[in-house]
Amino acid sequence: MNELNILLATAADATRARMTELLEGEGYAVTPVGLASDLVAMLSERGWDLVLASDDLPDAGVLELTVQVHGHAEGLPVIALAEHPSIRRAVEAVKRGAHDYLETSLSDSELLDAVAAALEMKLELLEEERRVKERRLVSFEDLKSLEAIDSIMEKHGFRESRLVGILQDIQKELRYLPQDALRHVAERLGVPLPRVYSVATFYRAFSLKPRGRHIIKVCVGTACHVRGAPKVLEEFERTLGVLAGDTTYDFEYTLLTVNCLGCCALGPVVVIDDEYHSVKPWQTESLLARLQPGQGAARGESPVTTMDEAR
Amino acid sequence: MRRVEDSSDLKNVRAEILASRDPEAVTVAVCCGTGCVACGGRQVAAAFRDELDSRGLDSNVRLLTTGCHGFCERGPLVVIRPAGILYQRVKPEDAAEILDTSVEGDGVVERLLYVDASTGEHIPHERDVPFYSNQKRLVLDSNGIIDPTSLEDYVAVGGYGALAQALTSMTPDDVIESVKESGLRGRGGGGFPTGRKWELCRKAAGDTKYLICNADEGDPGAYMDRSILEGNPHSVLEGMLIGAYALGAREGYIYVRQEYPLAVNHFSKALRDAEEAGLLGNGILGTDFSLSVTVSRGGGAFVCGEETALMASVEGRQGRPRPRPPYPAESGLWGCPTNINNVETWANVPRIVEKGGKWYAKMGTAKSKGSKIFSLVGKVINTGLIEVPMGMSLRQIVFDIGGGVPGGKTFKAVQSGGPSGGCIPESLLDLPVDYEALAEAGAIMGSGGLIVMDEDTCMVDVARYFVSFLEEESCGKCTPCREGLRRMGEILTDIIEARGKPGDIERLEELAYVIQEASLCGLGTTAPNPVLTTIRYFRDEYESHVIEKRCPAKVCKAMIVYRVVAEKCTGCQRCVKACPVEAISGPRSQPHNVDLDKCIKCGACYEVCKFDAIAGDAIYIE
Amino acid sequence: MVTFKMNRRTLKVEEGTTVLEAARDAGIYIPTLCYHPALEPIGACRLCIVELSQGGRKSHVAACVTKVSEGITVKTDTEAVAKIRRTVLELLIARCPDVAILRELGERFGVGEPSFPLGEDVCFLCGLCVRACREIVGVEAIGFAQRGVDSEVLPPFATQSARCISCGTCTTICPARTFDLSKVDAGGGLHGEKDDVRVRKCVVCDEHYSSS
Repeated sequence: MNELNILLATAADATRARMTELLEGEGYAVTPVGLASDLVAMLSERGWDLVLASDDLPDAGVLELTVQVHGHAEGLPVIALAEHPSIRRAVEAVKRGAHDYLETSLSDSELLDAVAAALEMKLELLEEERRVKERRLVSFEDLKSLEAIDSIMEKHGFRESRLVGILQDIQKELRYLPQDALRHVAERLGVPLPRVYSVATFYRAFSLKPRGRHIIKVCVGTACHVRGAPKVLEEFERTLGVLAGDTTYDFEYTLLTVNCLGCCALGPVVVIDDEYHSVKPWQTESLLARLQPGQGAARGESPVTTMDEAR
Repeated sequence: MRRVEDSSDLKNVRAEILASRDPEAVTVAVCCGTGCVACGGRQVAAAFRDELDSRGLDSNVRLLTTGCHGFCERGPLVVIRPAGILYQRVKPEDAAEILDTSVEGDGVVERLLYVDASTGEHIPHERDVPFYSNQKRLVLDSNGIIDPTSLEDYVAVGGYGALAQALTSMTPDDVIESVKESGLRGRGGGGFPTGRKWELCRKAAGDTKYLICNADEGDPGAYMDRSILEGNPHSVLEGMLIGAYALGAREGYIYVRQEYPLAVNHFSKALRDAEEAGLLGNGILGTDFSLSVTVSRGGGAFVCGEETALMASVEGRQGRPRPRPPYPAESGLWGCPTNINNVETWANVPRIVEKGGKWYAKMGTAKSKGSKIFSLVGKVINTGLIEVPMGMSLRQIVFDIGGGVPGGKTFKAVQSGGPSGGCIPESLLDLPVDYEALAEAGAIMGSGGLIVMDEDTCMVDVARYFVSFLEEESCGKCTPCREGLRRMGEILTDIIEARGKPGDIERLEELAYVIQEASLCGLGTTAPNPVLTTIRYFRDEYESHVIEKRCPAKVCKAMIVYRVVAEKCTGCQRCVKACPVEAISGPRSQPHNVDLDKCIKCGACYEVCKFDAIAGDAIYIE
Repeated sequence: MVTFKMNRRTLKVEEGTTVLEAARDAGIYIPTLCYHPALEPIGACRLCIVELSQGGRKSHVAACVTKVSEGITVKTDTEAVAKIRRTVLELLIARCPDVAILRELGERFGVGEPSFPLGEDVCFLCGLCVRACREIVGVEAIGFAQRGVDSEVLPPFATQSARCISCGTCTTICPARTFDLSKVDAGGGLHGEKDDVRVRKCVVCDEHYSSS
């Protein structure tokens, strides 16, 4: 197994030395720092498995730091250490996402147990996440999909020449093309799988990765381009935190670009779940706010910009 | 509509339809093309429907949802016929007033009329609006008059008359002769004479022949094919039927871009209706001529507009082009002779057969006949779809029909022919719309996208835009296109990001030559056109970028900086609110400040400022 | 028979012969990468571009897919042809700087170090392996995935191809020697991770061969 990386932050030299030695003795890789700002700066340097942070840091409180850590690396467990622990602070720490809240002067074995427990939970979560992702790439979430695929192929007469149409209909049904779907299609059509795979990866309409609940298509046709589409796209990328072509981690949004929707008079145009919007760069956030998870699609609502404003 | 027994019965059917309609009855035509739908056309139509129902007028007044009228900039459009009153930017709440005034009364709703920007005059009638009055509509004439989902409407305006005429009084050779005589050339971009193409295919050996309608309209900024399919699908089908008769084909395909769901719907409906009426399928119009047409949806690949790639895609494979010859006329779909024309070409055919090749050839220039549809978009006042006779000058199109550049800005160039075309500068605006003239200028007619650019458009950025578009769309089969475009893109990106070096422009020209000469298909051989024309006509802009590291249009982010002009700033806080990264600060009524470290140069402040108090300054980089 | 001119010579060949075949028979060298006499030509690498004059019209065509016809003139030695060859080679070398055959051809035609940033690819997408697998072996275990610059030769899902019979044809035909049977011997896969491929090393020539 790979070494587990622990980031340790405390201002007290003695504590730092004691914990580093203890943890390294157990085979963990420990990076000790003395400032919260150093810790934050190191977050993006490599993949960390655990953060141990004490409340004696001169430049930030441990609760504030926990929130900051999660802003950079979601799911990274943080164990908060306090010199003078209190129940109120403990509750607050856990509320803010700390995995554990312990006294700095705890015994060696207590510390090791706490670290092992935090790491185990992290690994389990990771493993589960990986399994879910892989399962989604390969197979269906719902076994009824197989029947749906069969009826789609039947509609197309099981003809190889209809391959593009068949894959389009499957994608419409499942929102993407799972590996098993392609295997099934190849088998039922009697077409070599590499041929199906080559078609599925050639055309932009197809996605082999699961797509989000909301599909955001930013038109980057020429007319929209000269009217500011690149800025609109950039704003969506910034707001969603994904690049064009990608899906947010929670499978809420997929951001795509499209080469001209033929609404050139309204450019820059964005289509969200089949609803057309004429969008200025600074309107992306309010547009997305209407689509917040749980609030449902903006279907039926009027575009964020009325036509008069857009002109 | 009932089944049509034979050609003479078509006349009866038409007479029956016309007899059932009151020619004096008022029609409310609401545009439901994609452009108008995008700004609420369907809601407007629904409002009229409710209003008519509640007034009990639903049987006297016909509510018509039509395809694209063309004047997309002013949508949603509503036209009241027979008076011919055009209402623009109509909202659902306007329905009642329009019905009160122009249907139940005989006045006009002034505030919804088109206003001529130069005279300030309100123009009530569609035919008098300069955008329309300067056009010549052959193919688009029925868009906006008929319900595209109604076969009856198409037959009522004389539809399928040309097919009946071809089947009863012309031999296939007569039809080909007529098309040759008309001088019709491919409207998809290539400009190959349609009649000659048909002749080659007809003469090719083999019993099984196919015909294809290319509706993979991939050029960004071009949407004429979509509008024809959405607005008048039967005209395309009739053209295909006549073509099939002339070629001896019994099977046809239409390859439609996947981004055009409405076009697929309307055309599929047209196929079903035509088949039920005996105008498609076996024994058409009581003769032994048969044709079946299949809709094939594209998968999102620009290269599939190229005919050999398109055919590969129809066969269910990757859309990678193959070398020509053999041409499709000899060996196309599944190795059989195949004829491919694009939507607009097919839609011209019924007119030619009906009125004769000679009549058609009267319009246009020496080598380019008939009319051409353009989508006039970008930095132009009257954005929309237009149809003009060949030979009209670009200046007339951009300024007379398009109304020129908005916002008092200066015209810079018009881009013709999409990613395969080129940018035409002001000095060449008197060029006529003609295949040869445009090619000489380094552009092409292409499918008809005309994108107007103004002083705020950076030509190097435009060139990079097209190159990265094509790089993304290259199939990857041949070296010059796959590798060459990527390298051109790298050089252009360097120039835009202020890393340009002396010799870059020459290197671009060198690569362009090799890509043009050595690429396998049309995508590659035309790909360098946008770069070559922008270098040819706007070399100084390239040089500013490369040598001075300055973007004259203030587009290239690496070379601009935003700042507040303190004397002009009123402290209105509009820009403070618009800034997505909180880079602008300052109390109300005091000049604001831009924090350059935070600024991401999105330009939001520049666009919202009402006092010209934000300056996008070109900066020099050492 | 068809009579035509190539460079300064008049050649007479059978109808249906390609320009490339005619040139090779006449001892005129035209470089190629994606061509193999046993496979259908596809005209992809564009290294065999020549100048074709026909009825007063000049154009550049790929010799491997162009059939000769009566009265045409073909030139393989113009300055323009040389320029195209050099640029095509430069582009390929920049993509695959470590592929020996490209460097050899580059040297032969005077192509120096590419002026573009160098890539790390080892495959220049000539497609010989894909075509051999389909046309000769009749298996179609690999294909082109993706498109454009991202195109690559892959078994489906880049894992293992259930169709692969481990015949090794792809490795034999690959001009870049990208596929390598020795990798299988070392525990890797020919096309991914196929477990049942047995590869042995020839005791005479040290080359690897498949024995499954």
